[in-house]
Amino acid sequence: MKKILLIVMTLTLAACSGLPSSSPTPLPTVSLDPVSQSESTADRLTASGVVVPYREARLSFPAVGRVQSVDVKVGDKVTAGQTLVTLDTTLLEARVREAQTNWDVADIQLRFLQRVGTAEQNLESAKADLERAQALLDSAKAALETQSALLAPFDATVVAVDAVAGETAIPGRAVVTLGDLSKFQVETTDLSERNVTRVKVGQAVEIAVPALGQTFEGRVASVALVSSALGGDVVFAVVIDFVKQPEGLRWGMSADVKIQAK
Amino acid sequence: MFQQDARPPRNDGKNLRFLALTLLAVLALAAGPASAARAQAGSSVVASAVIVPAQAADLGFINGAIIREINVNEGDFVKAGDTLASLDTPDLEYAMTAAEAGYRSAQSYAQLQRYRTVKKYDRRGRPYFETEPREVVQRGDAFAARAQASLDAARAVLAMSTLTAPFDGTVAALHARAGELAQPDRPILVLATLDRMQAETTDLSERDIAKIKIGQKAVVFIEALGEEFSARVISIAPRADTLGGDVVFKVTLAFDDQPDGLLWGMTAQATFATH
Repeated sequence: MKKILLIVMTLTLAACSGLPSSSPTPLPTVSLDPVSQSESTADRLTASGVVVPYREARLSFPAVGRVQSVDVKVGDKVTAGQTLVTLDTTLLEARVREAQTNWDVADIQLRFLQRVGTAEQNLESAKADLERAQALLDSAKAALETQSALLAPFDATVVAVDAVAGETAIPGRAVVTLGDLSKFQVETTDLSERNVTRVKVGQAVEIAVPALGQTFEGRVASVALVSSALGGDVVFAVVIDFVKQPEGLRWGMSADVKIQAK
Repeated sequence: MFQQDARPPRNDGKNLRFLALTLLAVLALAAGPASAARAQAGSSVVASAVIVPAQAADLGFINGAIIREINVNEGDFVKAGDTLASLDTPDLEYAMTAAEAGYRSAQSYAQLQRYRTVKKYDRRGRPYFETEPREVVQRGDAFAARAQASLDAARAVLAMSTLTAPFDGTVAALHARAGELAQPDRPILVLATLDRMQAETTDLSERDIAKIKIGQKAVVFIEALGEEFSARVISIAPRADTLGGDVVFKVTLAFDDQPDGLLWGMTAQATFATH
């Protein structure tokens, strides 16, 4: 009986620790420990990374306003120029109409003077008034345009929406986050300053994405010129392009990269 | 899930199975986050979730002033357009009155220009009346239009002193009282659709996200009610969040039939059927 137990325990342990088993293999976590770099050999650098979209944008309004409508939801695909969120523009529209009527008055005055004829100075003065009214009208129109709606700057997918109709839009607070999810890259999170000098644009990279259980080919696309701090470590972000875009990637998935450095 | 196997062993076979399973569980738990251990149960994915309203808005004023009145209490159900609160802004009310008077004045002025004539004398000294040039009338009309625009602007500014409900919902939280200062970046109440609740997962790992699809069926167990409800996936976050050191994706589930007694923030467990 005891013997059987012992065998079962040993087998179970062996199955769990080594070869693929029914239990999931743990995801490698981002390690701040320089020991993780010890896997890096003379011609191969390993690092942890995260899957990011090729382009992203956090959009916000430049001034305070009341949200009128939210026209998109998370997951929607939008095209460049598409309206995402609109604000209540009653006041700004009234201001444009005010400016327009001021322009009308100046215009009438100038045309009247031109019709009946007057001293050159009077005409010049009326022309200046009209130009001023034009400038104020342009300004009011520009204010309406920039404050009325949030537009998609490029074709993208809506990743986050932090606005509901009736809420207050605060300048600088991201209302919509967009990501171009048609093309993903991998950005390293823990490549130390000790190794960054060996990384060159164009180097071949092996990208393992544990969430998909697959490994992909990549190329170094860029190396950060400025460091960032991770814990107490100085690290540089290296961006890696996929040679062929894999299916099923999602923003934020973790990845392990092996850079063929010389 | 291992509790079912943890009954006192009745024979050797059960004893062995129990030991092996316990070992597996201990190892799996030690190796990964809790969700990973649960996810191995055959073909289903299990995740913790939290109950949230389908729509919730943090409402506040966009201009800073003293709150005059709050017309609702926590728990009140309101309809879209109902007044929730108002600010004490006498300056804006006077500005509105002034704009109204200005509009009426400009209108009468514009009307008057239509009948205005200038008395002139011909060569023989006889008086005659000549109408004013047409620009005078045009200018009067432009003044009237401007006064109308100014009135609209004053009305729009004054409207900012009143907070109305943007949709039907329940006042879930009230953060301010009458007499306090309202500020643009400080919402004064939370309006939520507490009659339409959803479940949002909090720890669904990146490992399992590929198995989740929009429209997929799931069972949501509400711990507080001790009951299971059927639901389906309506949204999968396109971007991951991190929970501790783990990469997780938020999956939103809508109930097939809205259960009674759900409260915002209740914990739940979602089991997704995967094939």
